[in-house]
Amino acid sequence: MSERTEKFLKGKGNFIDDITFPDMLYLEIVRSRKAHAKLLKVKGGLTADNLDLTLISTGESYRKGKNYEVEPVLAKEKVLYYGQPVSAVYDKDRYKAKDLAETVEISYEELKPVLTIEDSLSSKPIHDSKKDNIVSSFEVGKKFSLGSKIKLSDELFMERVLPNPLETRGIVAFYNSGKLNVWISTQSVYSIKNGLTRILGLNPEDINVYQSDTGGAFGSKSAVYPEYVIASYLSIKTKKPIKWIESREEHISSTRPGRGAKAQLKIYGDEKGKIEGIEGKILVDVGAFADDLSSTSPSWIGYQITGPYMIENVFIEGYSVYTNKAPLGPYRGAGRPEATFFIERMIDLYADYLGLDPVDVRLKNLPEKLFESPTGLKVLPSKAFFEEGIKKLNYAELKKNKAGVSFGILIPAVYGGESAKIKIESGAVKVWLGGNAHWQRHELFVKRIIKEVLGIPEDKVILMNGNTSELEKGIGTWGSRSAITAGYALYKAALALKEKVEKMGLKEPQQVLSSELSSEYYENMQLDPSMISFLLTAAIAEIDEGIKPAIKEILAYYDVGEPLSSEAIYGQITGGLLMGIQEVLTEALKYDEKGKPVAETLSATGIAYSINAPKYDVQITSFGRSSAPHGAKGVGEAGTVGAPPASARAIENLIKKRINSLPINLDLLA
Amino acid sequence: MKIKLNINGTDYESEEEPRMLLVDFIRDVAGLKGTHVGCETGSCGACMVLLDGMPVKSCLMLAVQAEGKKIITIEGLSEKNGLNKVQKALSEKKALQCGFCAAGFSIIGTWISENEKNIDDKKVKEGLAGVVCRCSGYDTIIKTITEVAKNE
Repeated sequence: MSERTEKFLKGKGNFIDDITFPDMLYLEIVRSRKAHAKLLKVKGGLTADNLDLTLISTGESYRKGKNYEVEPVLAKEKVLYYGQPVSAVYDKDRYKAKDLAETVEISYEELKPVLTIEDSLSSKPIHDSKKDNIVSSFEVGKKFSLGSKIKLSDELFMERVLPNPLETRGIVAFYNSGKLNVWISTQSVYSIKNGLTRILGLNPEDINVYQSDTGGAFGSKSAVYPEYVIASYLSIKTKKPIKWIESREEHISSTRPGRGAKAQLKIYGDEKGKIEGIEGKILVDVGAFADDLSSTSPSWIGYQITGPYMIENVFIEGYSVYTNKAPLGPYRGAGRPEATFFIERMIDLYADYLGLDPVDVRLKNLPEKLFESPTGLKVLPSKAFFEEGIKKLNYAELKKNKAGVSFGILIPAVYGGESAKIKIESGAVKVWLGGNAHWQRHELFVKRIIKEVLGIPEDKVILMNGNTSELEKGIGTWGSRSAITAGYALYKAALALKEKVEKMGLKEPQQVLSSELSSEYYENMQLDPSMISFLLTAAIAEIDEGIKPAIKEILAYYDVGEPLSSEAIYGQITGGLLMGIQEVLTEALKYDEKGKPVAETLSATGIAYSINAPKYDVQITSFGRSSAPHGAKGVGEAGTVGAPPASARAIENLIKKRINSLPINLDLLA
Repeated sequence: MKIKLNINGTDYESEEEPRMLLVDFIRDVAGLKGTHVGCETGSCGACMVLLDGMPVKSCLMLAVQAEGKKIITIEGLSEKNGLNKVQKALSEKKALQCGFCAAGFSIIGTWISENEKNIDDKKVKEGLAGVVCRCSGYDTIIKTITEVAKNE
């Protein structure tokens, strides 16, 4: 039983829109209704004339000399994407604030929007101060020339996808007695605090950030957005609490989507299925403004392009480019699904050309010992894992059903480490983690670690929401990092507390619980190959009602290291798998020829409903512990990495036409 | 105008604009925050309530349209501070993750378990098709509600 889930089921959650204060003001953002235009007039509300700030990016040193433009909080002179904030109004009544937003007058001189990667490369720069639309370029691996017998090329594409957590973004900012207090639905109170501190020029000690219960995120609640700056600024100005809650339509037009990645690849190999090299270009559409995460994503995708395989020659050129679309952000997987889809689709192409079984070709290309890819990625030999998995999933049977199979790796984002704090208070153990759970069930591994190290019963352990005044430093929840990084820090904090307990001679858990001890730990760790987990995914497709492709069964054999909570892991995997499947079938953020998102409602974005859920066969296994003391590996993004290439292949096997672009083009079925 | 609604057996009366949505009355006037707004267009079911025993999406109705009817929200599905069978099972099976969908699945799951005959997985899948869970892939939710409904 989880106290947290029980609270939600009683309707007693404390999500961001549930937080209210007397005299609260409701903020509404007035947004651009053009994707690319000069602003001739903006009349009404708070505009860039009053609040002329830009967002910040974390990697300042990296930015220098780059063709790099950070988003302004409110548009000035030009709007560069549909949904860009132009003005802000507020009222003490939610409905009246919306009425007020309607009164703001904006007139535009429309410009031609740049909407695709190809357009971007051939068009005038969308930023007047830049020389072209290329944000940044990278080279990954090493140039090579090979006289391979087989050389095959393809262009692959993954469309933009919205994070679409069920709870949209939102914030309550309340400037009170010289301090800015911020309640927010977030993956990291720390990135919010750091961002607001720097953008608004505040002293770090004058701002506290508290995490509300967070109704999903999938990458969309990690960064600072313009609305957070506006709400904070207005609260400082009015000394009143300001609430902003995003509408779904705003989420579609203005929250940062993910993917939008293209690869032009060539695979080199011999006639027996030995891959000799991979080269080509990876291009990412970062939208109208850049940040470090989006602009470096081509090199991050390139870094992991060799997956679990031993491919000795790799050369990738990466480009991130501007378009007149909402700025790109992370979406569950953030680069991992792209790399996996690209390499897996190329391997299928190669196996088909040779008439070999695609699984045999994959097995043949796994390393026998630790392999360092020319990209710098180091992977452990995984043949034993995949051979075992192929048996466990009954490949002979799968083949009869024309299943698609993918191999993959999951690299956890351990960079920067993580923090944890334990505080014993009123007979309970309270825990804060630097990564702020949005109820992926971190409480289950937290309870387990505390019980294991301190012997305290699980029902006495409470995982608290993120809070910068309780735990000063931290990183955040993303990139399949929490079990491994926050788990690591918590484990160390618990060991330190155990030492104190032993010194004081406290023996029984009851004695420990009546103490007032606390302990805090920051673990700064580095990625090593033991933390990278292996993923084997298989999918079986059907053509529903004779026209619509569907996935009827998905099978996963996933390495999770030491499993900290099998129920939590199961839910993470099935959730990720369905997102991955849906990205193949219908889920996408598409724009019309004027640059307006085609979807206006949640259902129109093509997300999965219960009727889309396939039969799941999830086998959780451990292919060795990670080097972290509790042995965990990552899991959060496993399904979104594994499902797309397996599902695309399964459909390809039925329709007998090559699938190289997601979501699949239904014309292929005609 | 004066709007008077009966929610979970309690009468609430307030002077509001005619355009006020039922979900806003429930949340902001009655102060029952368990009913959520996820999409404003009837796509997600996070705002689901029972209206005279029928599941409805409270973001698609005006508050005034619910006058004279019996409204049950997630807070009113069981006796004081408890959980009904469906809610208890969803909790025990750890079927939910972020929890924002709790009202939707509790309301529709309860309705299915009390009203659908000859329950199977497929019926439950179809019955749940108006409520979104973005976290779990639906598997444990479908299995849990099927099991409760079969035992009803």
